Amino acid sequence: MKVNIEMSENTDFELVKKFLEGDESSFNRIINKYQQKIYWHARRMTGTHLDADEIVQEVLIVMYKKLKDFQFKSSLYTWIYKITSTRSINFLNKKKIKRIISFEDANSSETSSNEDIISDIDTRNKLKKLDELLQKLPAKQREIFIMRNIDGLSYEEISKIKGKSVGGLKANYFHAFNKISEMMKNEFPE
Amino acid sequence: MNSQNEKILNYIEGEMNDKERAQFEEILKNSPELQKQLASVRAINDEFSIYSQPASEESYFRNMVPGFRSKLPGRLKRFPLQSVAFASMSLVIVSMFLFLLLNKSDNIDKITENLNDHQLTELINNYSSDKSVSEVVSNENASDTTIESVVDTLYTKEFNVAPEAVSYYFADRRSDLTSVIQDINQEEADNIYNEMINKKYY
Repeated sequence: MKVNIEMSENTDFELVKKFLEGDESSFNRIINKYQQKIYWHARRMTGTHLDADEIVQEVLIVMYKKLKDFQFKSSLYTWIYKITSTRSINFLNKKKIKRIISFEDANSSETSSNEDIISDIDTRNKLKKLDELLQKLPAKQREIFIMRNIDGLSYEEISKIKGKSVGGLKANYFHAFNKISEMMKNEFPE
Repeated sequence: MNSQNEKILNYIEGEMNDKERAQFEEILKNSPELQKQLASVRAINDEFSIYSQPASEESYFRNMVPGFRSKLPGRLKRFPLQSVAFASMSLVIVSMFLFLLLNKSDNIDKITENLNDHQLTELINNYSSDKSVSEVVSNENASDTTIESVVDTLYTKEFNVAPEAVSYYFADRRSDLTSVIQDINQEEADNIYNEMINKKYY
């Protein structure tokens, strides 16, 4: 496992180096490698495909512009995750402000689009229910829950991405988990 | 309940040390309530595991790179030739403007410096589109009668009046004008002419 991570980091290093030397195709390879992780994090955070797609485009542009400043002090994955996390939170904040200004109902925009990349109806319905639960959590708790429970990141990795202490992250995760647990009990009573 | 969830999560996620783990498992064996809670937490994790890598349309991810490339802002496209082309065009335009500006007066001087009066008159006749002026110039040595007819023509053209009406408007002034023309020197004539051609009468 450790060897795999080192090999991955080595490959990332080479890809970044080649891109900085002018090889545009290296950036395409970086996108191909991390696009699913970027998309699914954004998708879980926002709950809709269209919003996730908008965040993905923003993240890729930021990566393209800022990759020259990347110092390899963390892994490329951590760096990309950090950008995705920041962009997702910013997107949600902007959306919240827009909603307040336009007196829009919180649920109206989320149900307005049926565009999705999940074609299987059962899977889509299951994800919709999970999205509804996730969207009821505060954004920061939702993010920790996604990182820990769904993405399976360690607290140390989350700490590097979010710049928060492991203790604080654990507390946030347990709060989020308890809320999800309560909501699921109400949603699916025995 | 909440603190139990915390312990259960630590247990499931391998966050307990060996001693904590052994203690927890001992309690678990004898507590149906804790077993139920453990099953409940595992069920939640199972529910969300579907979200870790759901089956989705591959075409979306296949098109991500081309989509990103097409949306890339112009200034990020790493095409320095655009600015080079703009700078070159600007340089060419400025050079052409300066070239024309500096050579404009020189050209006229060079053309006319070697011409005598006769050649200069011919040149003016050939290139002037104003027939009345060329008529005046070509008849500079004509008699007073000719001068009068040329002046009539000028009146006709400059004041936009019919030829037969010229005598009505300008008859009284014609003799005065002839004497004035005879009395004025070349410098005064030039000044009058310049004033005439720069003034709009209608």
